[in-house]
Amino acid sequence: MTPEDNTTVTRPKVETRKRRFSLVWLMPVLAIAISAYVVWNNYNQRGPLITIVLQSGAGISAGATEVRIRDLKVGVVEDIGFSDGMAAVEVKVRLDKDIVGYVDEDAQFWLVEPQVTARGVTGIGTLLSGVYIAANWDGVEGEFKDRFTALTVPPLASVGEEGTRIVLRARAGGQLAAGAPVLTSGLEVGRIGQPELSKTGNTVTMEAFIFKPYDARLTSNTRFWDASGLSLNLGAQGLALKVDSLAALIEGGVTFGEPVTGGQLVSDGHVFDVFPTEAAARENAFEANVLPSINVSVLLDGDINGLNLDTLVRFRGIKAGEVADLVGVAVEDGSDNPVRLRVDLRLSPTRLGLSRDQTADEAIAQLKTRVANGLRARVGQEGLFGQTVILELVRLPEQPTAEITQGEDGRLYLPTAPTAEVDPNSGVNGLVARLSGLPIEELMAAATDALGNVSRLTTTADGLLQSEGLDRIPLTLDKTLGEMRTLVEAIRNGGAIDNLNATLQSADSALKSVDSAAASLPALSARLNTAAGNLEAVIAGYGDQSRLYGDLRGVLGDFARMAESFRSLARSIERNPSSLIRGR
Amino acid sequence: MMTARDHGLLTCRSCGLLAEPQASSCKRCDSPLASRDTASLQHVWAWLVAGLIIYVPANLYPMLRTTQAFRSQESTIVGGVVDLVHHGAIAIAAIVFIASVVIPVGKFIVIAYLAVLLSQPGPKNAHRLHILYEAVEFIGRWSMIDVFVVAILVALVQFDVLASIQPGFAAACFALSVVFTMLSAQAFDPRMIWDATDEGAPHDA
Repeated sequence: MTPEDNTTVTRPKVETRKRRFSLVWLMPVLAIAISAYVVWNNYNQRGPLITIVLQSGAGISAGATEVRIRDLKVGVVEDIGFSDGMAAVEVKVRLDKDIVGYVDEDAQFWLVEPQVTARGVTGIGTLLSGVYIAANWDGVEGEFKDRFTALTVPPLASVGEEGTRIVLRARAGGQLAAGAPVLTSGLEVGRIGQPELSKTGNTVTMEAFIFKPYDARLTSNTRFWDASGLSLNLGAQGLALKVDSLAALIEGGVTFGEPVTGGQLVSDGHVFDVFPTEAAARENAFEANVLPSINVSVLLDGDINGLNLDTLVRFRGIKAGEVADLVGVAVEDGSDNPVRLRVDLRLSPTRLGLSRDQTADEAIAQLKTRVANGLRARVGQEGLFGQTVILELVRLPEQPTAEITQGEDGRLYLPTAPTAEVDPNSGVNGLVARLSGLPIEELMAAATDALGNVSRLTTTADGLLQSEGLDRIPLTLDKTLGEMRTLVEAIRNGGAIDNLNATLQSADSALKSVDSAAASLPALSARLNTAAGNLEAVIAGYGDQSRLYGDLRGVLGDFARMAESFRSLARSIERNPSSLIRGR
Repeated sequence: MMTARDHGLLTCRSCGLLAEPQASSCKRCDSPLASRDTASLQHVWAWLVAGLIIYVPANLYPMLRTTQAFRSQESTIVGGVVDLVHHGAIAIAAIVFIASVVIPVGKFIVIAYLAVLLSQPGPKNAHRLHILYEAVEFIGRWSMIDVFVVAILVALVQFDVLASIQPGFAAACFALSVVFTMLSAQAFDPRMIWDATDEGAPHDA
């Protein structure tokens, strides 16, 4: 077949009419529909984007780092960058949609990293999985917030943990660290938050969280004390070493107890002081019930050595308060030494004899009346050697009139009186004076008399031994006399007498020597008695009327008196050794 | 060159049997017959658009979700390529990039180019067009490399907590996109390439 043969052949008509819309077009429509649905669904499922400001972006990576609540993922970091000025790191977090309602003002975020502390290892999962951002908020829906600053330390209580938040106030420079345990009876019942230095720099306050149900033990009578480290106690029972817990040793910690029962339950935010030792805490509890306190100040000239925080304030010999703060202040009064020491006192009205039910103002008014009657504050001393500096509130009517003044800083200033004159009877000089006042001369005279008697007795005894009738003395008496001679020798030459002599002649070592002499006195007196007994036996061997009998009788009487005088000396020293010191 | 059309006959596109011009279906295989399937361009466009649409989520969504000891990572196609480059596996990165980006995108462009060209009258280089068409047809079946990789990885790496790999949403999208572009290429009636180059030969009687 050639084309020429088929000239009649008509080519099949190519249909050029527009065919109806092909069904295949449904496919792209379907694809668009599905894509649109997926996109919409995805967008709809997207939670809010929030910004968290962190100090450091260590370990955070966009798209991988999670935000977790109770270890469940609730969001993912989408982006990480710097905040304005590169001062911090800003992390954008896409949260799940179903938790949006809870992301309000009280939401907290913090970075969880592996940590090795004295109490164990936390966040170990983050070693493998990388860090994550932990979140915490209450289960109450609130107004949405989209910008947060991450906490530098984990919050005290995680969501759902029940308990009581309190504030602990401790002396600055303590061992307490954030996360340290709160113990009671050796159990860990709470945690300590981040310590913050107060404005004055003297105290440190920190939040603490006591878990339920232990928080029921917190009352107004509860006292906290430092459980950090070791307490070493040297007492009658020997050496006592106490460690509250190993963790507390390393991290610090506080423990609490209720030395006095019957306190009222406290609510969140109650402020407790942390005492350095348990003893201090207990003492404070027993001396409690002094609130509310009156806060007054005094201005002191010059350097007051030994005055520090917690220095006692005494009023008529009882503790009426303590020093709450010491600040050097400049006073513009034209004097050459413008710097004064401002001492803030915390006084308890009840200890000042004011009524408990008074308001602070009323108490101040009463205090003003007393000041008008001569009440003054002054620096005093107490203790055996006057070595402890205290502040005294004393009534000194002869002082020029003064009144409570209010300073520019709003503080009330008590008028002061010059430092009390040192009592001549106090201090080391006083002790020496008291010692020298002792009736040592009389004692020595009495002792010399006694010794004289003993000498006479010895002479008589010698005469007795050399007398003609010696061979007539039975052997037993001979023996007894021999013993007696030894005894007398012992009394004459023996350490006891020398000791006593030395004691009485030396005023310097008076106390110590008298003590040892007193110890040997009973023995001496017992020996004298024995000697007397022996003599009696000798005498019994002679006739009633002999001269020897009379002599011996007298010696015996001397002996008995001497023994008695020694005994009474020993007794009086024994009963009242302080009489040597006090002189009465 | 002589075509069936020149002889007033129809060719079946399925089995190649010649038929009378009046026939509406093949006697041997019962396929619908048409001298030139001008509707095929519609099919081409439709599948192409579908493939294009579905290619978007295939790139936006993660292809793989790799979980390694608590840490899970999702990677998209391009992200995976970047990761591979960072790890220094340039060759593998190149293969993945070519298979999942260059080839699909090239296919879209080539198919669209062919379809646009064929719907417009005027002389064309038939040989070049045909080579393009053949290339698209041939390459189509090799575009599934990504999907194969995912399927193999998912099957091999399942060690529970330690490491596991899950296919992402993009894997399904990518597979669909490949399927759609293959259908698009197949919908072409290559006879139209010849007609377009048949100088002076009118398509209509």
